[in-house]
Amino acid sequence: MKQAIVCFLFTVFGFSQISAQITVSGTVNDEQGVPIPGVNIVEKGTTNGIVADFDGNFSIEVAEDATLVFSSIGYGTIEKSVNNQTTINATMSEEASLLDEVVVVGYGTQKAVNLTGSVETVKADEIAKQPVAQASQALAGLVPGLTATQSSGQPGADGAAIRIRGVGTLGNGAKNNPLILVDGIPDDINGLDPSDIESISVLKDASASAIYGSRAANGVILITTKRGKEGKISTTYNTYVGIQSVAQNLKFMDALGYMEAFNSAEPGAFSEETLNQYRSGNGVGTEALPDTDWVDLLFSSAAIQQYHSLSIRGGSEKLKTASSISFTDQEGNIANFDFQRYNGRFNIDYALSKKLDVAFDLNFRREVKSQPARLQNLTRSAYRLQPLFIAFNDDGTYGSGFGGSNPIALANSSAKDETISNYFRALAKVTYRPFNNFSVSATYAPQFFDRDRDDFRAGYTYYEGSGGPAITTVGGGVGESSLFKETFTTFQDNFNAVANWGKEFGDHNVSVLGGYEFLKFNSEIWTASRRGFVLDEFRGLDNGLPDTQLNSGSSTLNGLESLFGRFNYSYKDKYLLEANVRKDASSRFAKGYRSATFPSFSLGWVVSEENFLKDSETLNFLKFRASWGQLGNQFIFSANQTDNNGDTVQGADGSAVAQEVNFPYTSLFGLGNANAVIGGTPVVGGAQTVLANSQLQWETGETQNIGVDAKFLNSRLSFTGEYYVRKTKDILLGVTIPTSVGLDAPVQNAGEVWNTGYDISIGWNDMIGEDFRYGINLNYSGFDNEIKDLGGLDQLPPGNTINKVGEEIGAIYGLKVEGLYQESDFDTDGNLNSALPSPGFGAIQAGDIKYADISGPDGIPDGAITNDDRTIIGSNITTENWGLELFSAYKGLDLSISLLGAGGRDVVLEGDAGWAFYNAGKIQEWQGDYWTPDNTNAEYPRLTPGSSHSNWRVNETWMHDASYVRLRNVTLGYKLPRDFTDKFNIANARIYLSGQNLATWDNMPDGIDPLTPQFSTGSFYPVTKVFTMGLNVTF
Amino acid sequence: MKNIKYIIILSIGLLVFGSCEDNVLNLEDPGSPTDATFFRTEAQLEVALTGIYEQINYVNAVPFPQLLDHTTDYAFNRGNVGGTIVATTGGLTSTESLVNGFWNNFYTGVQRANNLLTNMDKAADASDPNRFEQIKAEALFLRSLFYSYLTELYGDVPFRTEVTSLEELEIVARTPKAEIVASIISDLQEAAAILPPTQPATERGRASANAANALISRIALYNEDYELAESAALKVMNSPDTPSLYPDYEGLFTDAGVGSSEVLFDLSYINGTKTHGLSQRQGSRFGGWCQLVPAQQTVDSYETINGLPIDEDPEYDPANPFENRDPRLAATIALPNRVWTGHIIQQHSDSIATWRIEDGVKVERVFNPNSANPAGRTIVDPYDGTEYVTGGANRFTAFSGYFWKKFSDAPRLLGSLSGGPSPLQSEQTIYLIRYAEVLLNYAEAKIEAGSIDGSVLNALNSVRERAYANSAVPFPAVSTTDQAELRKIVRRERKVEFADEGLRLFDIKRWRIAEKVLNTTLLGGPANGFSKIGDLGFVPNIDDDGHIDYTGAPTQPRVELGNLDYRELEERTFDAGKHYLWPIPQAEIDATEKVVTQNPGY
Repeated sequence: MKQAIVCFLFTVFGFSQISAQITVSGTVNDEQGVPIPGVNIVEKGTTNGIVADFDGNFSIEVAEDATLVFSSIGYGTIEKSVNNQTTINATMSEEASLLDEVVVVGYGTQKAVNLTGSVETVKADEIAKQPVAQASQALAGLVPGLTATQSSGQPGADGAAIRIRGVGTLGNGAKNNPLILVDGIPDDINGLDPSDIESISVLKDASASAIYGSRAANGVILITTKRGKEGKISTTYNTYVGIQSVAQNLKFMDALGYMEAFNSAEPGAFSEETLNQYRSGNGVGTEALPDTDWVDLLFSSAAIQQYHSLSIRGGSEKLKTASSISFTDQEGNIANFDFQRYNGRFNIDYALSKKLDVAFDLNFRREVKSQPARLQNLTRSAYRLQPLFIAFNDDGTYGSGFGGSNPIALANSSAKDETISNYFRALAKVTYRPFNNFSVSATYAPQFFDRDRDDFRAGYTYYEGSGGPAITTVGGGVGESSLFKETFTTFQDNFNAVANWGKEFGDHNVSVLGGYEFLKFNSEIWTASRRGFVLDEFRGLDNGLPDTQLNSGSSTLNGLESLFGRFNYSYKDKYLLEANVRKDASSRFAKGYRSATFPSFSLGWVVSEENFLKDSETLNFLKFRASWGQLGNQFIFSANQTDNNGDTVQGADGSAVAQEVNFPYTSLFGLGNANAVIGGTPVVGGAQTVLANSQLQWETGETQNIGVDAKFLNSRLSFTGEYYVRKTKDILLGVTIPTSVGLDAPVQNAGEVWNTGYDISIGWNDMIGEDFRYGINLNYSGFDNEIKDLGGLDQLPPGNTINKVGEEIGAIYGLKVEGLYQESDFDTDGNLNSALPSPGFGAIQAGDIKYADISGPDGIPDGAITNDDRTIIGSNITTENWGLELFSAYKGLDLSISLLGAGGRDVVLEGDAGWAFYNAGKIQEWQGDYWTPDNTNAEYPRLTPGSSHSNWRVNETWMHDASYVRLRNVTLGYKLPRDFTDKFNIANARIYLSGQNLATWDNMPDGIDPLTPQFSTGSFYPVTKVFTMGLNVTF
Repeated sequence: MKNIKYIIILSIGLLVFGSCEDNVLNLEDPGSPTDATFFRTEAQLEVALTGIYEQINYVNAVPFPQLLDHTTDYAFNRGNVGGTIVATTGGLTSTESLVNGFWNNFYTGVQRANNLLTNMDKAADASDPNRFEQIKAEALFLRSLFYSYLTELYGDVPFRTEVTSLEELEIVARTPKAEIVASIISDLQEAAAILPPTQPATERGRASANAANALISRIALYNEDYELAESAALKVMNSPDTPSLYPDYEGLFTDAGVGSSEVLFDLSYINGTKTHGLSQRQGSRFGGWCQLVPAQQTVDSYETINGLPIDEDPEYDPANPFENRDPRLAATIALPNRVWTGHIIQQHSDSIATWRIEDGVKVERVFNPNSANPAGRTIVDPYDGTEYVTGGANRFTAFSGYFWKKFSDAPRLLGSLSGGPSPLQSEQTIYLIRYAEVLLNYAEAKIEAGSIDGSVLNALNSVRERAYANSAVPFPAVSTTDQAELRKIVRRERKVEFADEGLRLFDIKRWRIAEKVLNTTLLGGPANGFSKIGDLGFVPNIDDDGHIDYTGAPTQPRVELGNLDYRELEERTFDAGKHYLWPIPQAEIDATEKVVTQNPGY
């Protein structure tokens, strides 16, 4: 830098000037309004130039008609005409030039041009511009090969489930979670304040992620948080306020429709007299003629969402800090659903000497998620209760609902189920550079987390009709009032040390990295509860009946120790080679089976650096790359975690939290897991529940990847295409053991699954004139999933889904449908024609589903409909995903639109979500085309009330194509003009309007979202759409 | 080369950090011992033994004996609790949860017993020799109990008596039922020789010699070894600690009867350890969900006080069907217009309100959620003129008009209405073996063996006498010595004595009457109320097998109003070609690559 200044000073004084000169001064800022120090400002076509000072200010004497060229490393060069102005402010975009763009990779950074593996990056502003509480949601549609699926709209549980290149392994879904690291340490993406995110790197192939070894089989997501930069201190305030509503919700028939349809199921159940009263319309909706829309009433709250984030960033050469604090509040559309998050982050960098840097980071957060009762008692209840039950009496009091069960009253009751999470993480990183080209750094990051649940079940009061007797239910219809508390605490101890050496030898560039890491994880859970609270308003444990106190608890731990290394070689930045290796040892396996080595290699050829292309005008960049590598998966899960109530513990993405198995290799004898009552007293019992497998080892993932990156037409058009084969071998699979052994099956290394697919992204970015910027990015990914081996078996024991060699993971397994039985299929006595296959699932009659007899015990049709006739009828995997992003900016205005789509998955609806009149339930509008003697060509079978029916086997009738296109986000922003903001000392201010999940196009029955959980029975919170207004200000 | 110096220092530093193996990798589960360290002390054996007891207490929403009874002609499972509807409507397949549930739970119990029996010798020196032997005997008793259910439900099953590991995993084919029976009877005889005749109150729930002998008599009877059934029953009857019949039949199945000497083996519940939902599932709308409800066929099975089936007794009055009946009818089943759970039970559409009863006195008029009304009707309570508008909730009530009283934990049902604990977590003790069964086993064994004597009549009559103990009516003593007549009587007796106790399924199978009694339309009482039941005036025909024939009876599906016909609850299907045994779970057949074969017809 000093040399540059000397140089420019020399040129300034070395030439005499000819045309009329004026002095132009101003400030150079980045897009956030933060001043950029040290920008080179040169009068175009001359050597006249100057360097902006520490605060981005400059002053230069130039010709009146000159053009100023602003340039700085890491920013795109811009030009400004002087036109006699004496003040010129410039805003430079952090659009790193092609050659300098740096990407975060495992344990370091790398120039994007030198990458040989499959790495995609997401910039801070892509995340920050989406007003979402859970950062995982913001990833949807941005990265080819990464799917972020949001399937719930429940506040605090509306994050997205993330998958990289599909579902690659068998077993609990959690085994497919990618490894997510925040500043190099395993962490949760959803805990972050999205404004703190600087960049996200998605490592997709083995070459990129092998350095994370046994945890990287499902890809790695590296998140870097913002750090202080040298320069003026800037203060930023971001806020938004939004309103949510359910995007689509189940639509049920009203009372009259319900009764008419029910009479089809049970002729005469409702008299003509009753029906005529409803038909007349008089008094419908009152207590006398109830007509309750339970769904509408339940989802009736205006759900306001707000966010405030204040950050201060900046620093000097010796000390740089980035501090931020934020608050998020998200209400639900169901009363008393709420989510709040407090987040704070302090990233501090000290330069103690030229050789020694120290970073200290602190991050804390507190999340409060509350609900009045579990979804099962609210949404499923609203999806079940008939319109003839009364939610509100005519005098406005709560009605009796179904025998006193009134979800509207329950949602508004004083019952409260609150989960508070506290998180604290410290990180210290020391980097020492004893001599040139060599550095060694050590990072220690302890991380503490606890989740405290405080579930108080209280009753509510309803009235048996207006003025009728008041009845107070207890405990939300499940008994007496009760308090259930649960504390789950984890501590993660993480240390790594990394040494780096790199050197250029002429055209040869070599760098080497080596490191050591250990990670230890402890967790403990304990619960306590009491019942029989005399005073519902006082909710301490002590206030419940002492003789009802219960408690339970357990703890577990696991550890991982690793050595890893990386070697990079490049020749003239043209021929690239990279090799990674990691050796992991895990406490989850027995000695002797504990460690494994995961290597990877990759090659790149930057064709555009070759002489024959170097000067091409149209092709600016072209690189081919290929990689091979191995990864591991050490995670073994048993069932999903359940709490004391038997409810599944839910993560921030709404999915079940899986229970890790830490000691699968030894026959553990559980204590307290088989208690009995003897002599009227509880007695501690114990039992072994799982057969052990002492020879257990890792799952191995093997990925081959070839890719091409290209840029054309002044880099306005960019293209990346990749083809991969992702093989997961030695899958930790439940051994099939005879059930008569009486133990759960252990896992064994068996099974192999291949994902073969491609990821494509195409982008076009251009300017029209000086002010209109626009772009379009399209990404598409598709893959085929195939089970290649199941430890020698042809298939695993099927349930509603099946894992079968040659087929997709978890394919939907059910009966094929030939249509509906018609009256002509029966003789006059009501017996089925003997030529037809005999039904095996109970008595049938005309209007019932006619299943196809496609097989028998010996694999050939046997004239009977049995379980042997089940076959694969649908897919549980989204195999195609695409995202489309359009953006444009004109002067201060900016507009962006993003769409995403998916295909390949089918959804089976069951229970209250799928079957009319199931278990005393009601009927949805789409179910209206049912069979009757007058409507024999119906889509759905005859109506049958009850809890079990042969029509309700898993079959094609209840399966729907869940492909969709969703208008994910539309944002319109306006940057306030400089003249205006300057008056208030504001560097930058932008206001915007944004909408999320605004529209969905799909083939699902009306009212049912395509992302409804598989085999859903109605306990779900539909996805919401959100309208937001926001403001970003930087001082 | 000072750089080398740095590299050496750093490498040493890495190695120091790098020696964390003991801390990071050699970990042990903080909460659980391994099989290498367990079974070393008597206390550890007790923990493992308790783990076996836990498994005989299989609860799938309700205790397993009651689940089994709802696959028989006793009752209707309106809510498909435990998934039994497939068993009664002909849809039973090898993948049903009902089929898997019993299999998996009882084999888990077998495994726990095998684990203890295989490993307990390690603790022999560290245990009191007497207790050590008893622990072994209790484990043998429990394993035999698991196998008795497995063989009765599934027929020939894999007979596993050793603990196994993955390395030595064996595929075990089915062993003929007779062999298993012989083996478990020998185990039970061994256990009976070691165990005390009865267990003290502080050990209630543990196996005893009387329980072991009673179980032998049951298994022998099921397998038509009448000599053994008789001799084993006699051992209980002549035990130094002879059990006696509890004098109050109705009270026996409430807390009052818990711990009485009649109960030879029971299943106990305490919230926090294990509870069951029978109270909620069987209970009336006053606290319960009435999902498991007795059928009309069950009500009509009870004799008149003259000891005759209702169709044979000219004094039976169809207009007053619940009068002059075996007291066990009203003791077992909550009948219309009678008081139960503190309310007068009424289900006809005119009873929008009913009385709450305290100490036999009508204290309050209350909304009756049991009435069979559709929505939107205004009904005036004839008693006090209060107008009620029906909410429509009530079409889904008991359907049959009856509720089970037995084990329904009435105090909890009533208490839950006023803020008490939930009937879903009932602590009502359930009985698995009681002395009345031993007496009837004895009688039946002697009848079938043709050795009918006074002791047979004594055994039968003592059970009948107790049934009438609290009534003003003398019990109708059995005096015939005709084998065919006695066979009819003892079978009728078992049906009414053990209703809702889990024995019926095995009785109708061994008597080979299942295809008759389970191929019917299950009926409920008239939809529109028992106040007018006299108008129905129908008496069904009861044949020698106790099968009740309603030919000619007016029946209809459940409908809204004004219907006096019997309600059709469920079309039952039973295929004698296959349904006498449940299918072997598909998972077992698949995992053994068909070494374990399927039962015929599935």
